[in-house]
Amino acid sequence: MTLQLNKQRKLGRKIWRQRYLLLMVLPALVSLVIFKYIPILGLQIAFKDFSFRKGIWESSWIGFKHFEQMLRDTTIVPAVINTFGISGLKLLFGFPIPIVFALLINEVMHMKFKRVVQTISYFPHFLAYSIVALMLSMLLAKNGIVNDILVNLGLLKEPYLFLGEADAFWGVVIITEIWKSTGWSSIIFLAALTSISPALYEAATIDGAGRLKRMWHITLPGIKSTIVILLILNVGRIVDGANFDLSYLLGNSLNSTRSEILKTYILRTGIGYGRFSYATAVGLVEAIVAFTLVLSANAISKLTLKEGLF
Amino acid sequence: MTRNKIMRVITILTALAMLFVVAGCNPSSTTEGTEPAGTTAPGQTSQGTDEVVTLTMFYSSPEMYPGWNFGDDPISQSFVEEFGVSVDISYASNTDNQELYTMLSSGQKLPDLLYVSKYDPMFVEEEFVLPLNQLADEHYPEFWDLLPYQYEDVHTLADGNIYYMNNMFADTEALEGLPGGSKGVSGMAVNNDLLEQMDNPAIDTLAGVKEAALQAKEMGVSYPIFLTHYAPTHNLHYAQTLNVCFGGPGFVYPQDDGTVTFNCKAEEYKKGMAYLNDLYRSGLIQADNFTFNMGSTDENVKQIATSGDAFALFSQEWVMRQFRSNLGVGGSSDAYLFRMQDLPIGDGVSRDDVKMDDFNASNIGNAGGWFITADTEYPAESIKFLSNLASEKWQLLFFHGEEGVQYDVYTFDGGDPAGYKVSTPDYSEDAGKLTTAELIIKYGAMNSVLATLRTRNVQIYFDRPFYGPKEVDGQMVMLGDGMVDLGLKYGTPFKTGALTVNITDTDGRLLYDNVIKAWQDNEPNLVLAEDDAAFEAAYTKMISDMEKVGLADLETILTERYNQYDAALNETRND
Repeated sequence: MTLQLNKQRKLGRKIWRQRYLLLMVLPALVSLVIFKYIPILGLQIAFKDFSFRKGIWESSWIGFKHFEQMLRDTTIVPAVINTFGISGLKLLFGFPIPIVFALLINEVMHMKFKRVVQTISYFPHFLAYSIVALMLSMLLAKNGIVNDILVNLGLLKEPYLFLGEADAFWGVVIITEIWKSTGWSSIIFLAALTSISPALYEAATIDGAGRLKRMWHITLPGIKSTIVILLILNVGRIVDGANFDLSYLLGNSLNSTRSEILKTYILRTGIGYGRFSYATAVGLVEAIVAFTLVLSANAISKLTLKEGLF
Repeated sequence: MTRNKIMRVITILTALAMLFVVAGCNPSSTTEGTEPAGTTAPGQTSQGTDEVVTLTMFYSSPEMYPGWNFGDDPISQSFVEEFGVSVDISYASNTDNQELYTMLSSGQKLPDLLYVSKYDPMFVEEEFVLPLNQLADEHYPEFWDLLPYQYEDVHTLADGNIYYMNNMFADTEALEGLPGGSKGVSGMAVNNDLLEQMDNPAIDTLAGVKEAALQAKEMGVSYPIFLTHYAPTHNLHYAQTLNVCFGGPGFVYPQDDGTVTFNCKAEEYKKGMAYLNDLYRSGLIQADNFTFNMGSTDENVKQIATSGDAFALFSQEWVMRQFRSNLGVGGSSDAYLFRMQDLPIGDGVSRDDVKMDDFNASNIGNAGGWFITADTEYPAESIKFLSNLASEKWQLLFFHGEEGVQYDVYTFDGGDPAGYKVSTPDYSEDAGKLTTAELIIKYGAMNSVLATLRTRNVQIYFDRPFYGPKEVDGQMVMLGDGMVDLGLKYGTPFKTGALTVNITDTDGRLLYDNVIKAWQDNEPNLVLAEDDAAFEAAYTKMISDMEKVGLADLETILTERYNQYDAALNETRND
């Protein structure tokens, strides 16, 4: 009993000592609850016939009708394939590149050059997708600079319709995403790199390890935890990792077989007609799949790398 | 100690910032453009009122003129002076009502007025809008005198109320035996300068258009035939136009066996697509037309169009109007860069085959309807505004400006007004210089935001390319399309908008959407086929894809609705 009281007092004192830090965390917690947890209550409309007038709580229950309808709709299949295809390839190619980039930047000794490269690499992150789409439509047009270069170099006989060929769409969006996010995504790895003790590098250098060996045996193991955590989180984003903006802005009749993703499908068949219940049902399935993927990735990581998110 | 103070200050500031963020989420807060009710401002009106009431409005339509506001131009100024009512318009960013749905789902109050699809039963069923007839009886009996011809017969719903004003009139007597089907108001626009450089070759037939386009190509024009920036998502527009050129049926039509289907199954539609395919194979249509869309490549399109790199485009009238508007060359004068042209006719087709019948109802404009919301705090001003806006007098003013200055009335032999013709005021000094918004502000006319309510006699002709123009007293006048628009009461199975929203159950709507998407996604492959065999294969695949996603089921629904519609039309006639 006394032990219990002591523990409580200790906890109370700890909280009081850290009161300012905890207060600083509080707004974030409040916003998390307001914007992330309370809206979960709205998921019930996936099982209801939502009416604006009746609202979320008063709308009538209709069971799994929307889910059944979703399973019956054959046009959702290409949207699912495109979503997983684009996200999967983005993960495959887009995830390692910021790591490699961070490692390379970390090796640069000339500080001014390093800063310039970093600044330039961060810049695309700040461009709105509407601007990026406009740039792409001009660069990749038949008379755009990309076709001009490829034709003049003799790599193409005639201009290629990048945005009109369904098979080219995945490539266009994945390359664009990598270009846009590499610099920004590398920040977290660069931050992780600073936590590695310079003494390890010095010792390795004395032992005769070259740059590549130091990177392989010191740097990569040093940021392994960060890589694993981000990988697990990215696996969870496979379901919604395909970029809505690019699919919406660059999608057209010629590439629609490869450009429609789950989010544009939801917009077209759900939100566009005010069918919020149907859109929520599709979104709920998306979320469940994403959560399952995170759990699976975490379990696999724990089994193989002995590291996990939770 | 100092560290503690700094932390305390940071904490307080962070908490305050968070408070502001959270306060912004208060459902009762309002944002610009979605104010629940109008405001009043001092002023003197001709009716002696001291204050002008400014109503708020949500306007969901592609028609919008950035830079123009109600009261900026002489006509709307006159309106404000006469009635003491103005309106602050908030435009939707697209036509799928998302902003409106967000307002509704977040519990925000609605603006006083809505201009949205009249076919969506949700607004009436969920009591978001007020019955106009009740408001009229209570606040503004003049409404009944201003109501368009046969409006009450057609648009009174089962509960005995009228909920919206729309762009129709009806003359059900004259519709006996019509095959029906909205063909849309279609046409062609050509680059005026290029046409003059070619010495104005004849382009009243499709063959003539091809010859002229070939000449344009020889002159170095990259896009002799330009399929407009709506191609990717609205490709049905140009296809429907070509269907009209060959005298094809409406978008949805009853076949000989009574089954109602889409006109992609009609021979005329196929001929139209074959013509476009021939243009493509002749190097007159570029494949990248289909990659242009209004979201990402407006500037690209504008550059092509204004640099003289496009010769002619086919589409429906409103698409071309917006195309010209986007180029900043709107207006009605022939002096503009892209001149509206009479629709060219296909080989073996008589112009009579595509002519519209006299006195048919019009569905020119779009499926929009004007509603007064239940949230309005100005019901009297709202019904006054709407009644007068819908009146023929003000519709004419908003569209054509002053009579005798910018339009004249033409009548049939019996003395009935047949239509109006714009008198082509001299806009030459403004041609190519003013945007549509600037033209509206200067002249007051051509205001398609407000002139959506075409009543019986507001059938118009100016320099637009309406197909099947009718000659009256030696002048070509525009007459209406071939179907009575029965609106929400019975649904209109012949309008795209009506179909998408009148099939209100989710299964039906998804079915419709999927069939149309299969059609739209496949249609470019018909245009871009490399040879006849590829064209036939693309056509077969298109129909097959539509069938795979449920064309037969949709035809069953359409046929049922057509029969209901036909019965409703007869009932209205007999009444």
